[in-house]
Amino acid sequence: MVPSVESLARVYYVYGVVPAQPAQSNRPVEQREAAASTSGGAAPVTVVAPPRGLDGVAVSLFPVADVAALVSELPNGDYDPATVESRLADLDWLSPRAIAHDDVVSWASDQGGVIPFPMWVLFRDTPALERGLAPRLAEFHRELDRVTPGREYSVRVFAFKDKVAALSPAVAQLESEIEKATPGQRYLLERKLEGVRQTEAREVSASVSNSIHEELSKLALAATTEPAPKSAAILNAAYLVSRATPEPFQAKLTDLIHKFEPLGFRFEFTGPWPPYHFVGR
Amino acid sequence: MSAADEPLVLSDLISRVLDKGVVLSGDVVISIADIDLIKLELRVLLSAVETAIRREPHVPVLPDRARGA
Repeated sequence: MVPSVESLARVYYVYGVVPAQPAQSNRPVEQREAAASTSGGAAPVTVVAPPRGLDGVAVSLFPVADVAALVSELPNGDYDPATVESRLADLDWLSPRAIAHDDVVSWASDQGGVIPFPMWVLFRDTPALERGLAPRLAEFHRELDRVTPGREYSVRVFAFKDKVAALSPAVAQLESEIEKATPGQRYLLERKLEGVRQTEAREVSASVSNSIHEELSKLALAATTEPAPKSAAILNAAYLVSRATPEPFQAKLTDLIHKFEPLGFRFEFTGPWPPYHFVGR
Repeated sequence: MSAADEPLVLSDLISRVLDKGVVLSGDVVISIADIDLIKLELRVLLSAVETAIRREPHVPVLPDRARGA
């Protein structure tokens, strides 16, 4: 007989999966150098520990074969499914927990490979955790091989429509016709101009969006786009960029910003993130 | 990172940690009593996040996301 949820003292919250024993080469360069420079001496070796997780609870590595889950034991009273579900829409409650989750996953991403899990993956006990993860080992290996060389960067591009429409030859031509038109013709042409501006702004935006995405994708290990969250973004993309050599991607992005911002486009760039958009697809 | 940047990064962060990553099971509430894994329904939450995103001010290019925003 499986005990009911209510009877459990704690639940096991999983942030993600990492290799059980990160190779030395996965560590950040400065730590490798520190280790090398202290190998013959008595200077303290840098110990890299995970940050605290949800509610400041310690995070431990729970090994399953050759991977390990990043886990916190949380008090079940606060994190049973009904309680969590009832508080999900409360951003003041959620935000610090989302940040803590991301801190742990970002820490792991700084060390090397990590497969981020979405929030609220909870197990009743450690045997359940092991049973949940063990059948997925082949998938975890595949994902780790794929995402470990990179880090995720997010790029959004927005268009200022009027400025962008002015780039269109069709709009320019119509405007010059209006200049020369008789007053009667002018009224009709001006009405037409509004529609042409809209269409052309959309077309110019789509073409710019495609060309930016194409250029950046060439310099990324992987790329993905998704619809912008109810905003005017003409491009909402994530790129998995080499952690060893991010410079070509960054240089290209800088070029694109310099090229397109004066024409009426605005860029938002965030990162590096753990590879949230590149696992589980 | 300035205060004005923070909401954008936070809403990005929240949407990432909620609906991205390796999903171990279905996307509905699974009772911990019957099955090993709980994964919560997120629809309610995502609507709240979208509200937050719509409130965003313009944000300049960020060379690096501040850690622990």
